[in-house]
Amino acid sequence: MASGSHVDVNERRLRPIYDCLDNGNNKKAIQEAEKALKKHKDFQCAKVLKALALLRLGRHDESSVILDEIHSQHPTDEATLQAMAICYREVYKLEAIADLYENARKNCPDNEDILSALFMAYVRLGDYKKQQQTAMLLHRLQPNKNPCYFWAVMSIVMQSQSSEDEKLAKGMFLPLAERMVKKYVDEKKINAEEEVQLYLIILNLMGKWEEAYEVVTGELGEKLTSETFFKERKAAELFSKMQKWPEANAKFKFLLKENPDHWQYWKDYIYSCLKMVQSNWKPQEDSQDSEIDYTIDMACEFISQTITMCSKDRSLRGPYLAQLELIKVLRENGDLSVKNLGSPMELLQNYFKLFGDKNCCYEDMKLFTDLISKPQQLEMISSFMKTLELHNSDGDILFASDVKAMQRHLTILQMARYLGIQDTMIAEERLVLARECTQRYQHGLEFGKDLLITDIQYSDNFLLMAAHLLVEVWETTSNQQYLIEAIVQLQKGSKNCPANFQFKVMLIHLYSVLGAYGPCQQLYDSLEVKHIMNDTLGYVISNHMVRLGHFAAASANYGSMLKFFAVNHKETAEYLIAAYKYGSFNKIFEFVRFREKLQNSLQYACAKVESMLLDLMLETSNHQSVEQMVTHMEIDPSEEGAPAVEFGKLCDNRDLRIIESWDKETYDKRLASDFSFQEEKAWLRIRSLTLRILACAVSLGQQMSNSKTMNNGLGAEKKALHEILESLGKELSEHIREYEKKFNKVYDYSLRGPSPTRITKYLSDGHYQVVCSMIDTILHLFNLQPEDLEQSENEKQESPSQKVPEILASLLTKYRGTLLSETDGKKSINATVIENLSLLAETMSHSAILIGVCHRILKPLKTSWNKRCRKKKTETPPPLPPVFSNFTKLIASFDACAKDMHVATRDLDPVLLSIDLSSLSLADSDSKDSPDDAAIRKDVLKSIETSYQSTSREVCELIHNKLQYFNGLKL
Amino acid sequence: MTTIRPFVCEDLFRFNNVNLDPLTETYGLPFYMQYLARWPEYFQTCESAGGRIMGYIMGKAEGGGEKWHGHVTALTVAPEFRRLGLAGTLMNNLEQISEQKKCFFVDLFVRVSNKVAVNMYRKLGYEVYRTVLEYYSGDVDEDAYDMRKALSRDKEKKSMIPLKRPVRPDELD
Repeated sequence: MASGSHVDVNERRLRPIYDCLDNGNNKKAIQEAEKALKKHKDFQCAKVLKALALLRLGRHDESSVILDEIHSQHPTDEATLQAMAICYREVYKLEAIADLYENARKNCPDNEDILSALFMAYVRLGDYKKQQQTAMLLHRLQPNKNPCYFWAVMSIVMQSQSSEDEKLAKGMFLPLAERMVKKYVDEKKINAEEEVQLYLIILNLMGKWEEAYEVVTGELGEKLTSETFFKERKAAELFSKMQKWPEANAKFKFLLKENPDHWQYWKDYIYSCLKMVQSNWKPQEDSQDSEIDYTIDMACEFISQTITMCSKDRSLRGPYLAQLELIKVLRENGDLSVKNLGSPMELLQNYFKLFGDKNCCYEDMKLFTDLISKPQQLEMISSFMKTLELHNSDGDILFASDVKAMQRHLTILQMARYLGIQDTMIAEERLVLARECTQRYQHGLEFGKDLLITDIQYSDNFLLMAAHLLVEVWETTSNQQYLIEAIVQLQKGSKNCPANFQFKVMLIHLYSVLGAYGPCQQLYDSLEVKHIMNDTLGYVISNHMVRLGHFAAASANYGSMLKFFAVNHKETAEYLIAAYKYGSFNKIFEFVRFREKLQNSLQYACAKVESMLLDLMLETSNHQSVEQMVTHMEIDPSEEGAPAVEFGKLCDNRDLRIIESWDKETYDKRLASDFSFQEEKAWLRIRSLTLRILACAVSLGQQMSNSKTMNNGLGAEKKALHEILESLGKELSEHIREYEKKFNKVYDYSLRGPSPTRITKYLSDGHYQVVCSMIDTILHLFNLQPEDLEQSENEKQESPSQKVPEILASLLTKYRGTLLSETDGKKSINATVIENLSLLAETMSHSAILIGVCHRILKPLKTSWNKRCRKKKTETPPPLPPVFSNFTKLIASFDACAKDMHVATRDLDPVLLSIDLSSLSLADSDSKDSPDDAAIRKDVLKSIETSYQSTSREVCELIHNKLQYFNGLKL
Repeated sequence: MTTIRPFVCEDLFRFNNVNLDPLTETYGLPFYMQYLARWPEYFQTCESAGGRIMGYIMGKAEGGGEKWHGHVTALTVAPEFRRLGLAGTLMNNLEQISEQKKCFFVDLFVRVSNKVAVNMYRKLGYEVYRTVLEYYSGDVDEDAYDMRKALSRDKEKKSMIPLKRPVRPDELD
């Protein structure tokens, strides 16, 4: 067995390399690989393992040389293939894996492992057709192995799902998949539950409910055992699909008897009942089937029976809510009335009586408050109020005697708020209620003395309610005092109960309203946002960081968000493979859709673009480093270029429902989040265009100064950079015109989020003019020929860029201001000044990059002009063409403008100007802080102050860098 | 008043009200997807009538011979939906699935300090089988109870007989 011992020798030689790789000792792994290669210079696997080690050391170029070499040799040895697949996976070259195994298969067509790996390679790529072909090859190799066959079937199903052509999907793929399964059914070859599940998936997609029902109830259905009551549930669903309402009704009734609290069953049961009532269905006279409830009375009876039956143990909420649901459904369907149940008012009152002391009571009841009229709603709330003793005859607060009584009170307050009863309150009344809530919160802490630090305090919602009320008082009176009081209260709550995330998220919102990002970071960090939460919760901070001039924090946060997005697509591919392996076919659809949503996430696209813009703005104090950075970022400014954003496909994965504010019915959350999605997309469009414009201009400048001929040296196959720049400029202008109408004023989002972008300010203050004028200038200079210089002498060279320092200067005049403003003797924080100056500094830094490009274009012109002057040897040198002197003047005005900005920003530093924020706390004498509150207030103001200092420092530093930048642009 | 249904990938986008709880760990995507791909029936969630995620349970079946058992990997309920018996419902569901799979018992790990949870599991019929020393790493490492409940296949409840001495995490099988 010579070949056997050969394998052993190879294995023995590879062992130390594997060990080093496993231990992360990549350098040693390279040495070991080289040792093995000395003995055997064509040892493929050793070479690949060396490539892997190089890769992990970040030496990508050396690694890919080796991989390319081996790849072209079409290896078939298993160890080599595996190692190469690992390399390709790490650099996410999924096509290369497929190609690798495709080559191997051609050499060893009967190798099951290779075919299997090839199938998986196509799964990673989502190439369903190739998946199908490979699975069929596997099946032919192993006709007795069912999984391969069903992989092929599933691959066909996936083709039907991804096919744009409905006819092809319904007419070809699905029938083919069905036939393939049927063949196995007929031959009695089905042996696993997963296979039956796949059959059901296919029949479901084809709408073949009857057939599906037969599968579920027939012999094959016996295999459906992993989920409890799966068969019954499926049968009930199928009856509904077939509109066999009596049968569906009986099934749902059966399921409800098993699980009387299952809400979906109740909804389906009621719906089936309604359908029978509408069609006047009656059982045949001789029928003994008493399990069908075909009248409303029968449904009422069943619900009541269930209530009686369940009353012994813990009261279940399901049947009680089912009563209300029944009324709701009947009303929605043509005013069918119910007798025997009691009025909705009575039912709601009863529900409160039974469940008012549960935290979720509010959530449940609000679904049904529409069933009673406005006056009835008021009456209901006041009747609830009467059940509690809240004040004594002198109007003093009486505190709840236990947690349950307290929770009842909270439920009432939440309902009252939801029903808009607080809307009619004037500011003073709201304030009184807020202060009462604060006291009740404080008192309620007594009940929670023994709770763990990880638990939520029973009375936390009082404090949240107080905070919402205080914010509203601030909104109506414009007295910032109340906003700060809300922050103080929430800080107190968060200190007492760090487990409550509601406090923290709301604090982030409120601090950012005050222009202070500083405290937000710590709060956000304490939420421990990680993994997928980067996508769903990143929005909590992402609109505030750059806006409020906290660039370092922005950089760090975008970094960690991008880290999540960068790995997830790579990592999750492996689980698609797992789903095939374990036959979890239902999950394959889910995984595919999930991966698409992550890949097309709005948050991802924003983080990508914003972090690049941030880098271009921050890390650069001269034009050379901008050029390096643009090269490094590999931005392709052309239409489809990176970082590409497919606006049509963007998904809004933000979880905007995390803050519970007992929102008024009148605030349409859906409308707000839809608008926010539109706004975010528009802003992203502007930002992404700005990024591409900057990158394109920088590349154009580089190209101009590198090519001696002054003509652009690009071939015809690619659009020339100046053309791209021109069209990007046009695109930006067009979108601006469109957005100016749509986003002309800031949408009134609720403070619970989402938060607005900077688009309105950007548009209304004309920031885009800066970039647009600069593009015109660059294109003008681009077209300038050396001969033009002399001719232009007499022309007044009025370049559009001369406007730019004027625009910036006038914006500065508009934005300049102090942090503390005083109106009617009341001091308040003027947070807009923070936002304004940060935005201005950013716009200025974009103009710096673009003026740097102008410099790049002019510099060679100047050099050649100088040369020509020297050649002419005239005694008096010819006058400097205006284009050069204008540029020098331009830089001088930029420089002056930046210096002014610097002063204005430095003036923001509250310490420098010795603004004492604590003087704010004295403005309102009626807020009697407890000593505790006073200490917290001091901390709050201190942290706001520190945040302003950071903003001032960071923006100053940025402007300082840009001053250096301008200094480097001498002709 | 709860809809129990299989956990789907999409739920990962909106389980924050549950996962922002400090004792609920948020894992990397591979962790959830591994469970979804391999033990989809063991990953169930509760949804409120208003469509919010109230809580969820993740589990698996593993072990050979008489150690073939259901395991509760994670069980969590959002604060506002606690004290409604949801955890019991979810546990019961997992036990039924394990019965179907002919498991001998169901086990779970819980922080020794999490008294509320330990008591709840006791009420559901679970007993401390052994203590695992320093199972949870953190600023201060914490011990875990390995709690078990025998299923009908383990007639003599052999799986629940407590061990006399605590074990270290590396002794777990």
